[in-house]
Order: sequence, then C-alpha cells, then structure tokens
Amino acid sequence: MSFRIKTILILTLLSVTPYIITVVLLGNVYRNETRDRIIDDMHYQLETVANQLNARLETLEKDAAFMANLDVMNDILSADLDRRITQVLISKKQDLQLDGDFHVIDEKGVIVASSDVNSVGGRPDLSDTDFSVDIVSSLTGGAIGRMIVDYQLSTLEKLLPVSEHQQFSLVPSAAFEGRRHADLLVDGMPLAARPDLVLQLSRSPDFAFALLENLQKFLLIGLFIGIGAIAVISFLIASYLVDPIMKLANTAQYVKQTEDYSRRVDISRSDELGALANAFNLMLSGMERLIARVQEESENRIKLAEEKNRAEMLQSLSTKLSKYLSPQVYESIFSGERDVTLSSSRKKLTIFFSDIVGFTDTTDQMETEDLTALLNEYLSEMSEIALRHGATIDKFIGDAIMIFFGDPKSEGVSQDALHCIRMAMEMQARMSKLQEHWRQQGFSHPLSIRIGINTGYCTVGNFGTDNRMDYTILGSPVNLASRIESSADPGAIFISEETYLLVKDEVPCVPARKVTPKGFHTEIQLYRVLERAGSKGTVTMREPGFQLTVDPEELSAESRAALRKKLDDLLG
Amino acid sequence: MEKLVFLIALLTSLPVCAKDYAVVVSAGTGIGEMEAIMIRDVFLKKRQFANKLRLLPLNITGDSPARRAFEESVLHMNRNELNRYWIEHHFQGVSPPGTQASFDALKAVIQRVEGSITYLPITMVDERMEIIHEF
Repeated sequence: MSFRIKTILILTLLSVTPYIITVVLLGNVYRNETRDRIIDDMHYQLETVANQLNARLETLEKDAAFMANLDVMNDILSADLDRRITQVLISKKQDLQLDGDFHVIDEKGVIVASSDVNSVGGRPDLSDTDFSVDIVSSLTGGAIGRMIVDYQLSTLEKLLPVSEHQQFSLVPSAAFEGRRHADLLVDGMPLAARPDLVLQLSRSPDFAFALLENLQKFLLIGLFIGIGAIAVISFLIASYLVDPIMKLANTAQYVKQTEDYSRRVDISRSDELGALANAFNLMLSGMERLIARVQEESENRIKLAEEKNRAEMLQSLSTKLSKYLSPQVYESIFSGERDVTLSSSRKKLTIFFSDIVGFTDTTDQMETEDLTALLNEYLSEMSEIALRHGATIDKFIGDAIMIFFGDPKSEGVSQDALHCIRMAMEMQARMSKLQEHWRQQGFSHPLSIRIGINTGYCTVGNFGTDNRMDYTILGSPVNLASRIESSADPGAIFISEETYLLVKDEVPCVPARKVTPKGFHTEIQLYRVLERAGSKGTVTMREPGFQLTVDPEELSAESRAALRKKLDDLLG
Repeated sequence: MEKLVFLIALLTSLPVCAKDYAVVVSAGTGIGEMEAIMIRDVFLKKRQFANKLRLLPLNITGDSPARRAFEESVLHMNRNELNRYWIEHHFQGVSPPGTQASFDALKAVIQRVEGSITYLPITMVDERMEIIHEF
C-alpha cells in the first residue's frame, strides 16, 4: 500500500473517528432530546386540546347554568306553552353549534322544552356524561326543573385539530391504549370535564420519527460530506507530503539509471521536505563534482599512464636509440640542446680510432656465440670507459671504435685531447685485464687493440637526409686518425703530433715512427704514449707476445721476487 | 294622587263597562274574593301571602289590552309609573311579577302552580281556577 494511500486512510480515520464519535454522541443526545421534545410536544398538544375541550364543556355548563337562571325558565310552570324556552334553547344550540340538545325538564322529569321539539313531552335519555343544572324559578324561588345538556361527542370532536400526520380522538378511558414511549406514537390525557374520556393523540410513525429520520439523514449526509471532505483534504495533504518524496525517489531512480548527476529535483519549499530536497541536490552536486573529479583524475591517470607508457616507451626507445648514439649526442638531442636537423659546424676535435688486431683471423677461429660474447664484452668495456671520459662514440665499425672529443661538449681542445689520451690508456689497461680474463675463459688468442689519435678541425654535425641522418664528423683529421690507428702497434697508443703537442706536458710520449698515411702527401711523425694507468708510477708495456703493467710503488718485496722468478721462468 | 285617580276611574267605570277580565288564582286556594287593592299590592309585590299561601303574581308579556286594563283598573298605574316603580324596587331586591307570553301559558301556570295569580279574559276561566276579582 502506497504511502499516499496510507496517509489518506490514516488521516481520514483520525479525522472521521472523532467526528463519528461526536456525531453518534450528539446524535444520541439529539435523539433523546428529540424524543423528549416529541413527547413534550405531544403532551403539550394534548394539554392544549384537552384544555379546549374542557373549556368547551365548561362553557356548555355555564351556558346551561346561565340559561337556567333566565326568567324565561319560569315558563316551565306553563309547560313552555309559548315556546319561549324552546326558542331560547334552539337559539343557544345554534349559537354554540351544539351537536346535541338542550332539554328543560320539569319537576316530574318531563321535557317541557327542548332544542329538539320532538322530544318535548318525553323524558330525556340521560347518560352519565350529560350534565344538568337545576332551574330555580325566580318566581317561586324553588327548583322548578332542570336544564339538561345532552351533547354528543361530536360536539367535542369538532374541536379536535385535524392533521395529516397525527390524529386526535376521544376514546373511552378503558379503551385508551396508554402511552407508548418507545415508539412515540400514542399519548393520551383524560379530560377533567369528562373523566370517562381520554383525549388521545396518535401520530403516524413517519411523522413521529420524521424529526429523527431527518436528523439521521442530516447526520448521514453530513457524515458522508465530512468523510468526502476529509478524504479530499487527506489526499491533498498526502499529495503535499508524498509528491516531493516521489520526486526525490524518481530523481534518484533516474540518476541511477542514467547516471546523469546533473539532474536536480525541483522542490521549492521552506519546510523539512524542502531542506531534504536541497540536501539531495547538494548531494547530487557533490557527487557530480566528485565524479567529474574522479573522471578527470582517471583521465589524468590514464593520460599519465599513457604518457608514462609513452615516456617509458620513448625512454625505452631512446634508451635503445641511445645505444646507437653517443651519450653526449643523445643527451644533447633529448635535452633540446641539439636539434635534429641537417646541420654541421666546424670544430677542433680529437679523434680516436681503435680496432682489434687480427680480428678477422681471430673470428675465424671462434664460434659465433663466443665471438659475439667476446666482442660485446669488449665493446661494452670500451664504451663504458669512453663514456666515463666524456667521449662521443661516433660509431662501432665491426671491431673498430670511432670516438671523438670536443662535441657536443668540450672542455677545451687540450683537455679534450688529454681526456682522449687517458681514455685510450685506460682502454689499453683494461684490455690487459680482459686478456687475462679471456685467457682464463679459454681463449687461446686473447685480443689486443691498437689505438690511433689525432687532433684537428673537423666538420661535426648531422649528415644525411632529413629522414635519415647520422651524427658524425668529417674531415682529413678523421682520416688521419684512422691511418694512425692502422699504423699503431698492437697494444699501443699512437698519436699525431698535433695531439702530442697538446698533451706532452701531461702524458709521457715517445716518438714512434714517421709515416706517410694513405691519402696524405706528407710524412707525419707519430708518437707513442707511454701508458701509465692506475697510480703515477705504474708502467705498462705491450709488445707482441706480452703485456706488462707494473706499479713499482705498489710492488712488495715478495711480489718483486715472484715477478722476477716468473720472468725468469718464462724467459728461460 | 294616584288614589284619587283610581277612585274616579272606579266610580266612573263601574256603572258603564262590563267586566272582561278576571283575576284568577288556582282553584282550591281558598282565597275567595280579593279586593283590588290587595291584588294591587300583590302585583306590586307589597303583599306576598294570602290565606297563608304564598302568592305568585304573573303578567302577560308585552302591552296587551288585558294588561293595560289591569294596570289601569287594578294597579291604577300607567306603564311609565310601573317602570319607574319597578326600577326603584329593583334596587331593593324586588323584582316585578313574572310574565307569560300568552293567556294559555298563564292559565297553565295557574293550574300548575299553587299560589299563582294572574288575570285572564273571563272567557278563559274554567273550573281549575278561581276568580278573585274581575275588572
């Protein structure tokens, strides 16, 4: 059962119940009062009519007494021969409209005069109801006869009111049914002047209860009207209460179904339901903002995730790509310092070339997997050293490595050259350890490298096409560096004179040889770098067949002895 | 004055007029003849008894010749005098004699009521009544 119906029923019941109680109580009270009023009314009417009848009879008696005292009554003595008494009686009968007759009888009881002339000479048929008055002669002073009023009941009945709904009647006392209170139909009152008669008032039930029935109808009509009015009012009240609630419910249902949190409930009231509606709208607003924020955050997170993924992908790509670029180039590109366009510049760079001595021969003797692992290890080690020294790894050409210093970052030509030399020295030192490592791994022919370094003005930048470019250096110094490298001894570092002049104060070098590199027309002096790695006193020598690195300062007496003994054993 | 007129009327009438009316009473009253003056007293309610009998004077109603004759010859009073007389005596509680509308009625009263006295035409007198005076 809906709240609206419940509200209507409850309000109707609560409103109608006291009404019904009141109506019933008032109805009972009014019914009793009406009954009493009806009884009183009947009694009043009876009393009034009875008084009239009694008055009529008294009047008759008085009239009879009056007539009896008339002097004309002396005509009794003459047997009313002149009919003067008769005329008086007849006249009086007419005046009183008496149903009956006046009789004057003499002392012998014979009618000497009568309003009924036919009865003269006879004797009256007296009944207990007739009354008579002595006639005292004004002549003789004695009673000479009696005045008898022989009236019929109709004399009184003519005085009874005629009504459609009630009937007055004169009934013998013995025949009177008695008042019946229960149905208010009959009431009676004895006549004082005629104790043998009872004035009876009979009412038709319809008339008797007309008031009550009217009252009941009135109350029923009022009750139904009241119930109807209460029901209507209850419906309005319920609607006033329920409609806002249903609006809220419908709005909530709509929001649930459509997830449209922009919907608002339109309830403009200043009461508690209005407050509820406002709170509901505020809640929807809050939820809308929250959802929007969540969506925004979700979108942002998705974006972030996408961007993160993209970034990670880019990072991965860039990391992957970075393996193909020197860290400096990679860094300059991704930092925006360097634009990826076909452009170049001329700078004085120090160029480094290295390759593995006899790589081809070595690779022919190795398994592919071993070669790959060895080469990768070599390149990784070298690359790590190069990066650490701030070198720009131009490219790996198989086993060869091309590196340059001075771009994209430069610490000055001298420092660049110095870094290059130190890098080369560390590479050679590392190679010594790698050789031992590889030897321990079973490589019978450990690798050695030769290094060539030159310093000179080169063109550095992006070369190629817009779709495919390569960051590299061009110029004769590059070629020369490559030639110097080719001329270098395995395990040695050969530099050009230009480079030597830049580093001679820092790095010990000795003249190596003079060569006329291919493509060059002049002979150039090459210098060999004396490798000192580790501490300042460390000496490294590499010759075909051996490599020696000794740090005398670190060498203990036992190590010296062991070294000496080892060399003696090796060399015989 | 009244007496004088009465006397003159009596003296002058006696030898000339015949007696048409008689004052009668019920038979057997034993009153006998009554002098006119006594009759007059009776009808003027100055006398109520005669022969130890209560007398009931009766007149005929109206202005009949008999009554006029009676008033003239017996009462020796005209109607105005009588009216005045009875008005005076009414306040003394004396009412005038009763009346009957006809001689028959008077006759009936005479016959029925002992002590009643009235006047009738002589021709109506019968054995049931007694003439006490004629006029």
